[in-house]
Amino acid sequence: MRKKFLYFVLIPAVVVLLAVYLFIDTWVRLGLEAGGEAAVGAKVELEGVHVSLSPIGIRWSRLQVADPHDGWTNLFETGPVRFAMDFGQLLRGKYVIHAMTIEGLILGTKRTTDGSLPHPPAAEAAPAPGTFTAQAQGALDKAAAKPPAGSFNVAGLHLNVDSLVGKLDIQSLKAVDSLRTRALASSAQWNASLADLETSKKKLADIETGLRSINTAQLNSIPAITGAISTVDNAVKGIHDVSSAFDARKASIQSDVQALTASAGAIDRVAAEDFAHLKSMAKLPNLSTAGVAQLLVGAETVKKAETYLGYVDWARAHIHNSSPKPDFTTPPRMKGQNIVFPLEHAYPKFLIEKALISGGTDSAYSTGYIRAKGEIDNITNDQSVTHVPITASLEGVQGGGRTFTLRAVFDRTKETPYDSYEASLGGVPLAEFPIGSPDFLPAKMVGARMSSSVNVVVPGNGFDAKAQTSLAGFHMNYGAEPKGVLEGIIREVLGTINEFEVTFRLWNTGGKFDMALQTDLDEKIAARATAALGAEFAKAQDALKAKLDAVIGPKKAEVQKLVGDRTADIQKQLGAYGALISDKLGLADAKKKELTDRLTKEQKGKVGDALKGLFKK
Amino acid sequence: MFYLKFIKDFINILRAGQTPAQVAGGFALGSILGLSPMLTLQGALVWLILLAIDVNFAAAGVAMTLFSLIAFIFDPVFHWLGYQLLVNVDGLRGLWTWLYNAPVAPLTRFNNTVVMGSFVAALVLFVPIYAGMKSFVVAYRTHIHSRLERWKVYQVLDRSKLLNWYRRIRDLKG
Repeated sequence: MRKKFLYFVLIPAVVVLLAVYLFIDTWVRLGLEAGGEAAVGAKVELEGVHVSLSPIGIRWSRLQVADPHDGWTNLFETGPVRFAMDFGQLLRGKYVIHAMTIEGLILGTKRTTDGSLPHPPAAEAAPAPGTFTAQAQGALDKAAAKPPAGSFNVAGLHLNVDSLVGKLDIQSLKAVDSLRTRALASSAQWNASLADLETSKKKLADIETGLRSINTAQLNSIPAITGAISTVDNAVKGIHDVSSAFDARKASIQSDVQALTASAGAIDRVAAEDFAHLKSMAKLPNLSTAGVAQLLVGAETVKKAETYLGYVDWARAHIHNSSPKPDFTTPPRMKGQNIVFPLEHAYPKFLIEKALISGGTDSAYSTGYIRAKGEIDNITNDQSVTHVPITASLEGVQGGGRTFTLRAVFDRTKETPYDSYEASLGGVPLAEFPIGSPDFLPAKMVGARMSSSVNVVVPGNGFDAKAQTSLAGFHMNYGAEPKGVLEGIIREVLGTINEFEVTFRLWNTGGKFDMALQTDLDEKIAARATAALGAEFAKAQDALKAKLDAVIGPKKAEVQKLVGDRTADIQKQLGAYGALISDKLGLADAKKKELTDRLTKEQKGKVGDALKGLFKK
Repeated sequence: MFYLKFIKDFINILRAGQTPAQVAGGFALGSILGLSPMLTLQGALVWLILLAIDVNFAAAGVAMTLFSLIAFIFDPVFHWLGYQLLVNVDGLRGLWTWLYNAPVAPLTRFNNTVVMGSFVAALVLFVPIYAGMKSFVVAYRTHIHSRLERWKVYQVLDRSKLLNWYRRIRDLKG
């Protein structure tokens, strides 16, 4: 053997192989831990890592993944895990695992050491633009917003009534002024109309004189009588002419009167609106208590929603979509961009076809943790090759009655990504569940058992999440004395119940996120608050009403009296004039009847004389 | 000295020696190798052709150097061209998918935008480069060199150190 080959090739090769044999387990462990920590943002610890060469694979005895938000708790830990890689695909640079076995998966275990990294990820930083978390921020901020200062603090009502009324733009005063102007203008018009009618009165007087000058007894001939009747008919016609003119003016005046009367009545409505505006300026509390749900559980719900939205965003960012047209990128010079085309019967770069998870049966761990079992299928970096979505189906049980299920689908096989999640959690004992805010009802529910179900569908850029949580068997632990009447009432109501439900929905349909949050406590608190606060409200409202009435009342009464007087006066004059016309018509009718009777009598006398003359011959 | 010998050979070849077609053929094949990224199946094939047929090696070497520089400058254009051909020409999509699934075709790295763009550009430019180079060699041998010798500038330069340096390179013994 050549000495140079021995010294420069063979011996170094043996040394390298020996080093690899001795240290490969450690190198793989360090590599996996570093990769995991980079992905999670908290400590990832592996124990008992062993790399086997035939079949080529890895196994470890324990894995702990710390929670990046709570270093003293694990997101999850596993017992023994083992998997083998497809050697043939490994030669092609592909990491294909047909089956992975994960035993003893336990969620949320306590750690004995802090799992935080020295430089934790920027978890508190603003969410990246375009993520669901960023898009939903507006709706979530609304849910987490504190109630307006003092809006529920009825006991502290100190209304500066004079100042409030001074600032009010009183519409009813403007209405009063307007009505006064209209009443005066109408009154002037009516006077002009009455002046016109005065000329008609002279005509009526002349007609009356003419009628009275007819002495029926002195009329001895039929032609004289018929002449008088003709005169009376003319008089009647003249009276009707006057009456027609009067009726037209009367209709116009009556219309004005009705309008003025209606306007006078409308002042009361405007005054009521002024009062409503004044109440809104006084910021009297809203007794609908529609914001109680937000107040009690808004902040905690938003905190959880942001966490879950973070998971959704993580899935969207890390499970890549397959697209027939990849985006045009700008790679370094001479590197280019590799375009991927559909492959038949091929494997992607990374694939775990089936990961079988069992929760373990040993009792070494605390019974307080949920042990999960189930499977996750088709974990891959490229679903356009596998043509099947990633699916997860997990369920967990704990001796204390806690249950947990999760079904998830991450579909990237089509151009539009589609994610769906269904999760339920039952009988979870909560040590403390914070409600309220430092400003209002700072409290914790102690000893509650929580059950919740969550359904999330994320088709493309759409989003629809529904969550229902029920809390039962709790008692309240308050941080301070109640600061107001309503706070006291809510405490009283919470003292009488030991369970309630919270319903939360977050969705976007037209690009904008919306949110709905409610509890079944709302109605109970509203009813109790209305009963207790009614007297306080009445007192505050009476003070405002009295002051507003003092400002509006005199002017309103004055103009209403003006309108009343003017309309009554014109009605009286119209009535008198109408009576005058009726009187003259009555006189004319009587005179005509008298003349008609006289004519009949005269005609009968003439006929009798003619008959007598006939018989005399 | 390797490059100097290459340049010397190329200058000599322009003046006399191999036929204009051989010089132009070497130059055109070298342009394909210069424009395309290394380590592709088609690159190996061009090398094979270059070795197999009687074309001028020096011209190929000069072309490779020259067109490597051009490829670097025009890389964004080749990337864009390759992207359009691979992604936006629907009629070719079936061909690319078939090639992608073929056992040997992936060795051509045809699905890389720069490889595709530069190779297509090289193929399109092959004939013009060949024809242009051939005409240039013929013209150089018949007109250009004799005209150059009559220029005063040439005569001045002919006595200059620069030309002496050029001649030393030209007359180096291979």
